[in-house]
Amino acid sequence: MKNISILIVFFLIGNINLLAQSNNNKSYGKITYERVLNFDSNPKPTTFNLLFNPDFSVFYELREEPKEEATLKPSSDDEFDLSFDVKFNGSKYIVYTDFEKEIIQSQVSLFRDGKQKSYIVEEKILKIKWEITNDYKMINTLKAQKAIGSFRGRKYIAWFTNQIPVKYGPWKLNGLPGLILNVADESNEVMFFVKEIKIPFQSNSETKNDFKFSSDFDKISLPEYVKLKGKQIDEVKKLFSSKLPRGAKMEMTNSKSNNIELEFEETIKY
Amino acid sequence: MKKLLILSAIISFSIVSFAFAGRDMKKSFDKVDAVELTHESHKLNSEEVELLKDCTVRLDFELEDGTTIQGEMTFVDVSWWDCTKMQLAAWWKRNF
Repeated sequence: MKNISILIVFFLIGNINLLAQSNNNKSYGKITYERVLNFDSNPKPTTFNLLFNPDFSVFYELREEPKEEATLKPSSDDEFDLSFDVKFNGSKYIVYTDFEKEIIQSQVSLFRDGKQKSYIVEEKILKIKWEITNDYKMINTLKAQKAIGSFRGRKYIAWFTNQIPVKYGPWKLNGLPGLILNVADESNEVMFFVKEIKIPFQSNSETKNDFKFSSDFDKISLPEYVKLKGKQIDEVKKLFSSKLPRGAKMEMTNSKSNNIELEFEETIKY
Repeated sequence: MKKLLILSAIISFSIVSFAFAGRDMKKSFDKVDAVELTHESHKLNSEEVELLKDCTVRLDFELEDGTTIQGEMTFVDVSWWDCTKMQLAAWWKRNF
């Protein structure tokens, strides 16, 4: 009996060690994508990295310091005409997908009460129903297959490769039998192109800092985020109202927004 | 006769003195008028500088998730300086 107990203890210790080793040796992959947003025929490219292991993937922006541009150009004698190109400069965009818990967390910033405020937005993974076709093409040296799927109001055409049999893809697009290399929506307003593939990839502490969420940010649900985003123009209006001289009136003459996600589930509305 | 001469001398002196005093007074009135006129023209100049106009601000900003928002606002009856201040207000970085 004593011998059996000793054997069980050794067996448990052995298994714990194996488990620890497997966690340490979890293989990572790193894919670099270029996202091109082409709203109003004005293409804007941004570079992102997708880092993944079997449990999670994290899609994070690689960006330099934002450039701010402001111009003052009087257009006529009766009007002062000003144009601003403003970019938020706080947190960077990070999308963390936990496949075990089936949740997505995104780090975003919004304009609220005259200030920039960052949030962690939590939502459930929305499984895309992909239709895999028999169309193939070569993307660099990889054989890619075409798949079509809809996600939040846009129809996406994706090219994935079975040569890298992982379910990951850029942003919130995933769930195909191979890595998504290129994907674009029908109107070519939202596009992702693969730039570099590193598998296996040795993740280190420096890499992990690239996509670490700040602990100071408030956690909010997707419906809350959508509601706040819908009020952005009003928030800007508030800021300007506070800077106005006494008696001056302000009129909102025009406003428009371009979104990647056009529709949400029934419970969420803009 | 001597008395009459003294009296007429006093009257003449008084008339001359009064006339000079009136001239001085007129001079000082002229000064006041001039000052008021200068003040009026200064007021006119300031009004020209502070002429109020409409100020249109166009905003184009991008959220981190890629959403772009464009807005156009018109501020009614603001001075050039207030319009410029609003331009500065749009530089988020300086406000945070």
